[in-house]
Amino acid sequence: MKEKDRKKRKKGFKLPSVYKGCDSGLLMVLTVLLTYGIIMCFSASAPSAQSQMGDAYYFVKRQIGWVFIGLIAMTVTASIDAKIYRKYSKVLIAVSIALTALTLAMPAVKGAKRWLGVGSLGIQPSEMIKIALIIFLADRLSKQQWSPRANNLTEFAVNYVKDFGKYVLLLGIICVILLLQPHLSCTVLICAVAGFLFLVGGVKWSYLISTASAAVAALATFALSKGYTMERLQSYLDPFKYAKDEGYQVVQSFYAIGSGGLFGLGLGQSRQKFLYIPEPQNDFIFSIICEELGFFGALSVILLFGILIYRGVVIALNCKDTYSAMVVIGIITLITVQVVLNIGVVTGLIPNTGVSLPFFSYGGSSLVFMLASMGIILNISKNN
Amino acid sequence: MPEISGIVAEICGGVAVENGNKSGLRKVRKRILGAACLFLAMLVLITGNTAKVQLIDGVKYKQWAIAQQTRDKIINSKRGTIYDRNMKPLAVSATVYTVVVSPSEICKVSGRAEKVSKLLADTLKLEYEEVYKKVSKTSSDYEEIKAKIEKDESDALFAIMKDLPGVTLLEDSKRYYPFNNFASHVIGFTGKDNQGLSGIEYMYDEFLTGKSGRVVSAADSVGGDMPYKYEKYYNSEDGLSVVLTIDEVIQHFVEKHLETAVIENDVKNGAAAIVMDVKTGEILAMATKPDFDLNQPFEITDAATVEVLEEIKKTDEEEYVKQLGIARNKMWKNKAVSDTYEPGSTFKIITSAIALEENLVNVTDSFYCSGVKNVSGSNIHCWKSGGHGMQSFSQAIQNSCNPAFMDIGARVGATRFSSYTSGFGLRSKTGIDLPGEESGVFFQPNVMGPVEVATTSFGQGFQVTPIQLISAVSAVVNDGKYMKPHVVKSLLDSDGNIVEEFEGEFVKQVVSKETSEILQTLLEDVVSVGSGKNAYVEGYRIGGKTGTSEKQPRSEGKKIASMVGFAPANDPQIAVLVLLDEPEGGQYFGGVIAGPLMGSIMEDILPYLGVSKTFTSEESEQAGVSIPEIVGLTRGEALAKAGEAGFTLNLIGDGETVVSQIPKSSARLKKGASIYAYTTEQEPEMLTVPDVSNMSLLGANTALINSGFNMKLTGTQEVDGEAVIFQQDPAAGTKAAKGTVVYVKLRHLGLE
Repeated sequence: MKEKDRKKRKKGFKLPSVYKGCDSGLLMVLTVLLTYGIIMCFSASAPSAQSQMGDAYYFVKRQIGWVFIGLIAMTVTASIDAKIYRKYSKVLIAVSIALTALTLAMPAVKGAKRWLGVGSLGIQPSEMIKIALIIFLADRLSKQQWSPRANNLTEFAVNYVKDFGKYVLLLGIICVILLLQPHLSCTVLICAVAGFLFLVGGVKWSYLISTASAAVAALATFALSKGYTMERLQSYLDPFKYAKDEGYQVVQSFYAIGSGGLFGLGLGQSRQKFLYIPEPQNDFIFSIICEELGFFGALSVILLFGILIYRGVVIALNCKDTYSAMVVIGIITLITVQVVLNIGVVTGLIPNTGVSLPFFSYGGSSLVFMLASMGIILNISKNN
Repeated sequence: MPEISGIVAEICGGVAVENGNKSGLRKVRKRILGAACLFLAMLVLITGNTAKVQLIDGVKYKQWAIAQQTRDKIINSKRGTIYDRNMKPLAVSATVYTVVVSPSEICKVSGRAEKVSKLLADTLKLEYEEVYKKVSKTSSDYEEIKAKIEKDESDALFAIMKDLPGVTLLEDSKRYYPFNNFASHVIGFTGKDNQGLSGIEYMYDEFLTGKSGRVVSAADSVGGDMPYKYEKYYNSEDGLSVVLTIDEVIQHFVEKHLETAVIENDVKNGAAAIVMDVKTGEILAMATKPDFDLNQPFEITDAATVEVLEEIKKTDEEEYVKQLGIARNKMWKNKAVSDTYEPGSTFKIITSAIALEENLVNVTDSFYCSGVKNVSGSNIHCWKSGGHGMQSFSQAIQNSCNPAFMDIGARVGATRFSSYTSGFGLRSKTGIDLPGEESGVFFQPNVMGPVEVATTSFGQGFQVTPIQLISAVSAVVNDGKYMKPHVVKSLLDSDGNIVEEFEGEFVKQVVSKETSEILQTLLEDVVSVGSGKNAYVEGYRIGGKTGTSEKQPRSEGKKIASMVGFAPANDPQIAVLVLLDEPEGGQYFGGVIAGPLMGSIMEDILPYLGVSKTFTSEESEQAGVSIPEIVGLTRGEALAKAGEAGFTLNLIGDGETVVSQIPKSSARLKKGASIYAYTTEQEPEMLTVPDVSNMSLLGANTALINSGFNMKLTGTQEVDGEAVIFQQDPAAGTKAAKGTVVYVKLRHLGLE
């Protein structure tokens, strides 16, 4: 009797066949992260959902919906041979750039033009551009033939333009569009991902250093031309002095993290989520985790991402071809940089830029594209 | 781990790779491993930083977070009431509301600030612009709109509260003084935060205030409740009520008469009066004039001062503020305890007490006054030019003779003056429970030469406060027992239970009972026949001593007229001190202007205190004969009865029997007075009362009889010496029935 039951139950849940042969470790850690993310998103969002929408479940219901959409997307990408994207890499990047550029014509939401479509159905094409760029760079860089070492500066310049010019131009265009939205955090993310891919793809150090210095100089000039940069910088250096305005979020985040201590106040027991931290379900969800689950809760989140990254690195290392390895490491880089930037901001290590925490922060586009890119990795892991 | 170690070994260990493509992949793997190391480093970095923020700095963040998440609501304690000795409330607290707004809350919806401001401005009668300025401070969570609004305004606001999001009425309390100016210097007043600033309000502030309580509870960022039950109560304790020794009725009498005296005598520098229970040291009344309204303590009451201040304000704002402060402090100053003055002849009581106690003088001793006495080469004059001639010790007191007292003072000497003034509490503060008490300035024995001894004997050359002097004189007449003066009788809790009672504090036996009794008699004589006779009230045995002191600098000729009295003289219950500072009304002698004031006060408060009248045979004779009842009698019978009693009867009308008579039968008049009797029902003939003030007694009598009235002398019956009518009742110019008794009072002039 009992055995029959167990058998029945075993039969009850079956992974879609597309996941056969996928990296099971990655699948497991993804499951844990998604579950964990939904729970924390609910806990963090309930008070503000209640006060703004009159429904404590408002955000979590939508988030669960996005998870399902994301899982469908992941299933789709997991079943598509990742090598196929190589053929369409140019089209993909062109379309995403075009869509991103199109946002500039859309009405601004909270002072930024990042969305296509309306309201909660809106998507951010900048999420798409991240993946398109990773595929494009992985494809190009794995085929790239590098010029021999230059003997003089002119030769270097010629080689640079010939070998690296197109990348810089592409990245430049994307960055300009993103900065026009404006979407600084996405710009930083894309530059970081591109930088890592250039490194892994074997771009000459001389190219990288010269480009990076030029980019930093350009970025600094651009940032300083904006009035709010200095204020942000000052509030970053001493958030408590600006606790009423610029430093408010960070100070409130500190309060939440500090309140948590080693073991936290208990799941659902955050006090800072009660309208102290604005939109606690978004960028600052990590501080609510810290408050409710303590340092151990924070550690568990970092550890889970660590496992995810580890699995990703393992898959990348096991790839039979450079393109696949680079796609995997590109996506893993994307996640890692987001996690590091997000937690860095929340704990006051990095100036406040506004990066979400993958799988935890509320938000549709990023979750769907994140899961879709996970599907790509899963597909690649099948072929290893 | 096995899979990665295999790959790492493959990459690093140099496993043979066949073709170029493979070598490219190998390089990529190597770089991926490098990137992975970078990832690890980054994760370690954020973990470390999280640990720092959460576990190290977190300790203080946690405290700050709790401070932010909890709401502290102060529960104000109710300030105690101040009662008079008969539990009549003199200072009470009422619940009022303070209107505060949370602009950040209001401004969440556009257009709301304007609406709320408009409503608030209309209801609270404020300028819209002012209110809007506060309401539109978006970044603020707390702005006070109006403090302590009256009940009608708070009721109006409560009615429209639903239209006022972000507006809160905080419970607060406000002090009310039902009698405004009454006993203002004793009661004192409170400031904006109900803190006592002067008088009893200041002195007993810690008792009156009580202890405010708190409720600490969890709150979200907009002050709403959190779903956590975190609440902690700290109970508030209401303040204690203070029961004064002041008697509202006596204080009222004193203030009324003092006010009149200030006006009549054009007193320039204020006046003070104290009534003290000599047996317990309780202050029954303490008044300072001019006074001020406790409900508006910051308003200058003196019209002349206001005018001067306005003038200064036009030219010099800074000077105005300074002068305003000075004027306020002067107005708030309790002259009875904070002002020092030279007591003048009232001090002769003390000199006499010392001399009698030390057996340096006998009642039968005689002294000679030529009008001047030479002391160590300087001529010191008596107030009476020409002198008093030969006089007994008793007469010397009655005459308030300076040369006689200089002789007595010389017998006392510096050392005894010094030790006795300590004993009488004149060298230190009395310790009365009122703020701002001053102490007199007295000679040190080593600097007291013959001249100082001479002036001391009649109360000049040193300073005392009124409270010091009345306490000392009270000791003299209270069988020599010095009682510490105090104005608070007891402290009550909010249920009316006595928490603490302040009973009379016996400080010291200063002089003997015998000395006290001798002085009671001597001082009664001062009032009945001596310089204090203007204070005489028939039927009451009043003792006392007048004084006229010269103020420093002597060249300006400014005076202080004062008198210390007590009653009943044979068993003193109360002592009264009155002081008029700088009278400019023509008369300045204590006996002339402070004496009648003393008399008026005694006349009102002695019956109130239940002191019964006793008449000596002489007094009875002066009181006259009772008018017989003749209503209902026939003409003949009436004439016979009136004649028998010694009165003249005037029959009016042609009826057979008397239907009404004036004066009525209860009055006592001297023989020879006229009774007017009506034999028919008719309205009595109304006549105009003539003005007899400043007439001699005889002149007044003639004038009144000629006008168809009867006259009766009240107050002093002494007719010797220069004396004129100074009070009459009914007043001059009023209509009164023919035959009405006009009561007049004599005022003797030329009494120091």
